[in-house]
Amino acid sequence: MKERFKLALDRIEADEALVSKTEARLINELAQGQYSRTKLMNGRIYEMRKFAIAACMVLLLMGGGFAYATPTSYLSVDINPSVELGINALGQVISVEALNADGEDILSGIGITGMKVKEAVGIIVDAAADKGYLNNDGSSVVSLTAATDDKEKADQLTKDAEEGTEAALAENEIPAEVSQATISKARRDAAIEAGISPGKMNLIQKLWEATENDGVAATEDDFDEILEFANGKFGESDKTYAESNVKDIMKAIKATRKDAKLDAANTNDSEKDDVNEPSKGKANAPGQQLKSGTDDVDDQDSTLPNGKIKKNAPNKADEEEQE
Amino acid sequence: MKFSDIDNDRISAALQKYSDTVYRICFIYLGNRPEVDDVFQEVFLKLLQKKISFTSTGHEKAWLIRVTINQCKDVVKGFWWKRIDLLENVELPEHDPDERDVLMVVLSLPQKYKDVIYLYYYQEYTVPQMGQLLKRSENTIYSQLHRARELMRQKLEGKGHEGTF
Repeated sequence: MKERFKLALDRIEADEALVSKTEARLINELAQGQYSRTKLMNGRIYEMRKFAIAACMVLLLMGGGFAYATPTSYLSVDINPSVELGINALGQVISVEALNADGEDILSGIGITGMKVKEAVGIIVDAAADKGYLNNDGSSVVSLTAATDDKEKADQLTKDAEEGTEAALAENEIPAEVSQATISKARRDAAIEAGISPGKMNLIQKLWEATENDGVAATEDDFDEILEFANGKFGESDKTYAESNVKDIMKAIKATRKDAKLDAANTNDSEKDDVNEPSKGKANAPGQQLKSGTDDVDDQDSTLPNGKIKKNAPNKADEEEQE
Repeated sequence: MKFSDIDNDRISAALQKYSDTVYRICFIYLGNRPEVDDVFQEVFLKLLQKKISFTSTGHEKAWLIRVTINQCKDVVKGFWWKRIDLLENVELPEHDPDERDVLMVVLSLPQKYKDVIYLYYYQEYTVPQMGQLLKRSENTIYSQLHRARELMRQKLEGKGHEGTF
């Protein structure tokens, strides 16, 4: 039966018309040298998108314009390029904002408004990989931070963003940590006002808690102090915390917490070095919630306390040659 | 990407080498649906645009298989896809009836089992290799294979075959 399956499938062959059509398109598009991911939408998919846009126009006319044009949540993607997406009630990206110079660099030449979150985040991560912001050695971190006061929305948002990230990382064969967190809109607004990416600010807060606050969760009143900390110099480097790579901030957090063996319960194979540390303290224990004063939503920081960190293993199945 | 990086020869060579592989995966997921064309073209665009240095042809092929499977899954996840009957209007080249039955059974499998069946029986990857490629644990692969095989057996027996797969 297995042989029969192989024989049967062998008889299925790409038809000539499709192959030559593809060849023509590849020559055409790759020769143009102005590749943008949006061009991938061709034929049917493009038609469907046109239909979707038309449908949205109708919605708009019918008074659904509010739902379409108002961001109900935000997602910041931090690697070192930091980018923030504004997402409407329909789960579409309606605004894209670079939060630093590197962010501007990766956004140049890509158009992602109107896309679904998964697709948009995939393109951002892909662009970051293409422009060399992700290391091949697995040391890079992609941090995804949803800012919304709606827990369900936050879960969906981080899930979509993670899927997009993982797919783009796999496609580029780059192993990297993907971490997620959710913050309230109020904290997002405060970070934006301070000119720092909300996702990075959240990590800096974790670092501040671990190093400056004896592991005690920050409250609303601490914000000014954390902001001052964020703009202070990071160790020996000439950069401030706010200007540093996400991976360096994460590393500093882990190093600090290592002493208290706080990560032990959360570790996976990407953090083996933490596992054997003796247990010392309980501050910042896994699952602990942040207290954020008047915030409507509990902060579900899954980055560190819950250890929702993943690592893409480099692909070894690829080694075998079969043709 | 500069044009000098991708010349016409590279494009033809890639198409010649992998057209059938990519097309067969598309077929398993999408039958003869017109969406096959989009996935097919997109996969080759990705292949030629990527700056990955493949360590071997096996590496390149595994990458291609994974990307094709993922693209197909993105299509079948779509909201209108659920209403489509894949088996309707499937056109097959001249197959003997037995081969046709096997193909139809594979097409009729739930989408989530198609990758394991294809990789295991057609590409003859080992379970650990499949785990790496699909980024699933080996245990998951084993149980999916087991369930897929059982389903295949039942469906084939329904068509009057000795269904040892």
